[in-house]
Amino acid sequence: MNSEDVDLIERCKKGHAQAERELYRRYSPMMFGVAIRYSNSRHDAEDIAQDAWVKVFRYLKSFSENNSFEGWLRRIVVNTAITHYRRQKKHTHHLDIDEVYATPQDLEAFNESDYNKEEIEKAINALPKGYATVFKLYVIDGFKHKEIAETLGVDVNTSKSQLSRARKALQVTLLNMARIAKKKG
Amino acid sequence: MSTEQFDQYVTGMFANETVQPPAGAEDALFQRMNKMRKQKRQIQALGAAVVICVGVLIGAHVAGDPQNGAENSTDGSRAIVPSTAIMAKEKAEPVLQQEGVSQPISATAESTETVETSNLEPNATVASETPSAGSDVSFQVEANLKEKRSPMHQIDALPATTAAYDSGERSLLAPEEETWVLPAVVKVKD
Repeated sequence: MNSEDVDLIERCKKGHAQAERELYRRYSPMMFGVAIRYSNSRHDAEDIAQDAWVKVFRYLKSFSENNSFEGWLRRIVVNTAITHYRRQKKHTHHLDIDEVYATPQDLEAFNESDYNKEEIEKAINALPKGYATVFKLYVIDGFKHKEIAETLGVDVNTSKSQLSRARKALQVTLLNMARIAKKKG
Repeated sequence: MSTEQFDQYVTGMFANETVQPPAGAEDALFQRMNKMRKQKRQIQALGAAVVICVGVLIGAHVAGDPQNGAENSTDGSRAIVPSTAIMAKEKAEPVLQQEGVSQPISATAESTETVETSNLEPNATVASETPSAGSDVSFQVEANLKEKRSPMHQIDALPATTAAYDSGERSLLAPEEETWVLPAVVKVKD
């Protein structure tokens, strides 16, 4: 963490309104990006980001400069998004991962460089919510299995198995998307 | 393709990903923050006020306990005025003397029950005849009182307690006053 951030955080801790706005402008694009990744819509992402920022300013005094500020912010957004997701959980439908079937040939034929960011993002969002969350937490946001287990309230082994299944499901989804695109082309 | 390669590929795609939030998000956030902080301050002020009020009430209760304990006793002694209270009430004596009801004992009785004053008139008369330092009893009041006197009220000798009262031994007489004044029945024979 650079000295400029340390100074900004210190001023925020002292309650300087201008410093709070400056901190918001500096980190809100990153926070909103994470919020969008863990939400179903942009509107939900706005709610998640705002709730996360309220938590940031409320608990900023407990933040230690020895830790990564960006990592701390990211963790707050993710936790807020998961809380938000749990509230809406009863309204969502989950696909069983066993419904996704991939042959060894399919997986062998998979080449990640064939897909761009939008396609991979679309494929991740097409995954069952639980698997997509574990995949995003581990692969994109760098959480450890222990942290994922604590965040989601599941066992560490569950986190590992879900990640493994999520990878396979994602590859199959991407292959299917490629096949559909070929047929159309 | 190994899982590590796939993970790295995806991670690289989303690293340092930023999305600009909508324009009104900043103002909406800080308006919400201000509102929350205002509510927090109000709650803190209210809490402090409640604590102060409770403190004052407890303080008043503790300070008022000795008096309340004497006056609020439920064993039937409430009607009995303590000697210290009688002494305090006797300090109002000069004012009552100006109104023509100058007897200190009757003043005590009057303060507790007005009905008894008619029975205590003889004592009042005795007291009015007793010279007291610094008292300005008007001549007219004196005359009116003399008109109301019946022969049985005119006594030559003062009761011992009244004499002692005038000599300044009030504290010693307080229990006696309680015993014979409060029943408020005085019979004087010719």
